[in-house]
Amino acid sequence: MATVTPVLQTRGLSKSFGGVDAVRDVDLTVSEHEVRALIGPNGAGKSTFTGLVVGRFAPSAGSIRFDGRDITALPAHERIRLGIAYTFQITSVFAELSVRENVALAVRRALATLNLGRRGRHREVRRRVDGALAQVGLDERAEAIASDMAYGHQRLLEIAMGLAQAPRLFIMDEPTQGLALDEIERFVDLVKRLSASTTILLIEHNMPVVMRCADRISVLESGRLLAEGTPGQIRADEAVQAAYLGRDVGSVAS
Amino acid sequence: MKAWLLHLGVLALLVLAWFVLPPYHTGNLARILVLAVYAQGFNLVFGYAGLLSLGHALFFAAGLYGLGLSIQQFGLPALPAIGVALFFSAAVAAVTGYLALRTRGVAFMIVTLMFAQTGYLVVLYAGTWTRGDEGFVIARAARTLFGLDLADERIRYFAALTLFAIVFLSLAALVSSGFGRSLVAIRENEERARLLGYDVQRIKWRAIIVSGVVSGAAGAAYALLFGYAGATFASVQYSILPLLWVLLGGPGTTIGPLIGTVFMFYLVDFASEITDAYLLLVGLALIALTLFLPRGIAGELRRRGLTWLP
Amino acid sequence: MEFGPHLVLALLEGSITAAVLALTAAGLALVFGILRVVNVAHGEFFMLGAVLAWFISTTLAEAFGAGPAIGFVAALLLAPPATALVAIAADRLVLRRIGYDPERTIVATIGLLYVLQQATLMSFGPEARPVEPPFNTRIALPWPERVDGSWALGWPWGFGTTSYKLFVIVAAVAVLVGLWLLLRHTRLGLIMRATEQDRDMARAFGIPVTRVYALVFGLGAALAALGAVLVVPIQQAHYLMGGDPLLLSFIVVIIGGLGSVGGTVVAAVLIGLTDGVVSVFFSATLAKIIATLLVAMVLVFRPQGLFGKASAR
Repeated sequence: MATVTPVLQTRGLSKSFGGVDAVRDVDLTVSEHEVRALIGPNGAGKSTFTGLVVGRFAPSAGSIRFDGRDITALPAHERIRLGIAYTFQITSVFAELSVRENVALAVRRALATLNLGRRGRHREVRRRVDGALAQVGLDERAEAIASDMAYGHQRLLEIAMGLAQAPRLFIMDEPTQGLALDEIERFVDLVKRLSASTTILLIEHNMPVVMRCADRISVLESGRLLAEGTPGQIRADEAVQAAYLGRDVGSVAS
Repeated sequence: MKAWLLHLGVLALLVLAWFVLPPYHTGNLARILVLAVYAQGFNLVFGYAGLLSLGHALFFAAGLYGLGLSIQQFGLPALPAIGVALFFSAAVAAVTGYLALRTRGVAFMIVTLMFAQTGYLVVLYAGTWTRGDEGFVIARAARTLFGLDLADERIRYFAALTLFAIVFLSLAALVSSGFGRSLVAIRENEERARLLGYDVQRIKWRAIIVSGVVSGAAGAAYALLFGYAGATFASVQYSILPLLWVLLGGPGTTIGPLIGTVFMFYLVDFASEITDAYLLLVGLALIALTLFLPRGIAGELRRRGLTWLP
Repeated sequence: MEFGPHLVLALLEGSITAAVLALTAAGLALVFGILRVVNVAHGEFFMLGAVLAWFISTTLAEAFGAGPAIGFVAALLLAPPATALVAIAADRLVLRRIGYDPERTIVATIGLLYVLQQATLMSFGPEARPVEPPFNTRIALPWPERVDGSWALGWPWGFGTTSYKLFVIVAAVAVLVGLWLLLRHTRLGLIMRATEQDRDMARAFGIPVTRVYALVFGLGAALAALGAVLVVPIQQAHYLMGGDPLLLSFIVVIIGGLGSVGGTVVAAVLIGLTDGVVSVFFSATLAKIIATLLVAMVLVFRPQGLFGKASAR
């Protein structure tokens, strides 16, 4: 049986800031079309880990492979161009620009490599922008200025920007934080639909969302990979419970 | 659509001005138009890319002396001298821009200021050729282009207007293109732009080079049309002036630079009749602008209703 | 004069430059360290100090027949606080209103530069005016010479300094020591350092941050003015005299590490001495070219200066 190249593979990935070891020796592999959730208590190093993957910081040690290609030394913008999309933990969009222009900027960059000619490009940009906005339910607000919208909608905008890139790997840092319940429902549906066309790595604190969306879960604690498995396995894992809840392992009720 | 009408309308007005205004004002306007080209060059980097350069006089002077010395020292005719000036400005912008972009924020401002100061001091140091602060005159005979005598007032006016029109329309097209929009994206949220795949450093560098060439073109035009090159044009003052013009007119708008240049020119003109210390007005204007009108005239208009203003 | 004495003389002149520069640059460093803004008008505060010193000593001489010593002491006591008041006014009227935004502050202080400079031009005039030093005895300096085959001390002609110039160096050192004591060993200094470290924390502890800012801005201006008062008997007061101190202070603060007052002093000594030596032996313009390029290159390649800490990536 042929081995399929995983979409993302980190080996021994580590990062220290001054004296603090934020990420320690993490080996993580994500396969194509997988929805992987990255969970762990606050300060576990989840955001730092995804930051390393996408190139916001350079690792202290270890390697990162994307579709089999070593991207450890590549600058962030080149990694994005290879097909990674990223949403920030604290929503980061172009506040003074319109919703449409926000997504258009994401689309234009992604289309730059295709040879479409001017009119063809305009059409394609518009098509993709409309498509991305529809997927997150923001099509009615296309002309609004980003900063005029509620925080939850800005978050959805950022997700739309990622979708518009048609990425191979979509990294989301706490995407449901700040969303209303019905938005979260729509988000879960979106993730399930998306996994057919892309691979998703998401950091989440919302456990129900994690349990419903994720194919596999990786648990980080104090920068180390504590456990990995299906939602069922992780739910039953005593070490995970101890890490999250700080209880003695022996007193866990099953 | 409205944007195109506006741009063509402005140009039409400027053509009309020649026939309607008295010679004193058309002479001023020729000067203003060349300086407005300089302001537009600065606007690309400051208004669109969001980089506060305090050293643009370096590019203006590169064009000014590139042309002036080519004619004066090497006897080149006007057209190749223009070529030298543009090439020289581009080269200076490419090198200093590359170095300066390794810094950000306040450090960037200081580095650009230092590079421009170096340029000014070099002009002084090379006094045997540049005649320093005193400067040199470029003979009328040398100031002909395509057989036209550029010292003639009408030809001079329309030459300035042609240059202005070319830069005005080209930059308007540039800022609405993908490149122009990526500049705005970088200005608005650099980290987000980077993580959408934009090569931020490269894009900024390109903007500086284009800006440098435009500013250099203005410098070359100034020497060619007004027949004089002096060290003042390389001094800090000439780095501050485009900042003032763009701030007043509206950074990140296409007509802002022209508005700001016209306004300030006449304000200074008016003030220097009253006192030697007309720069005082410049100082007060800068303070007032940054306090009360940070978006400039066109910028405020855009915010308060004319949202289509390019 | 031979090379040896000439060099020592250059170093001495350089020391005076360094002393005055250290004071001026310390003011700039203080403002940048605590307010985190670049004050482009800093050189004009220097100029104001000199101009006010001329004004005070001239008025006292003409109105009361006071001698240069009294005039100088009065200038030393009055000019820096007066300059500080101008600075504090600028802080309240402009800087506070724009929230100390780095970019807008640079634009505003450029405006302030022109306002101060041109207002001085309008009132003081374009000429350079001298101020008499309070005392000025010539001091000849010895130099080892070979006389009849053995070493002896000679007094080469032209090789000397004045008592006032030595006083400038001593005074500057005294003020800098005082500044260091203020920062390190007084409550006010503690408040200033706390505000520098973390503005929001300081506010949470009840420190009136806006008042500290005004005070620091005033103090920075006063230091520059003080440097100018010390140097004006040597140099003359002129409305454009702020340009060079501004450039040199910038260089010193950047090379010393933006915000580090200690590094600033060391850098000032380095730059002052170098400037003195290079200007004597080479053209002043060339010295300035080298200095200017040096600042740019330091910022590009070693942005933390010689003594600042490199910021985390």
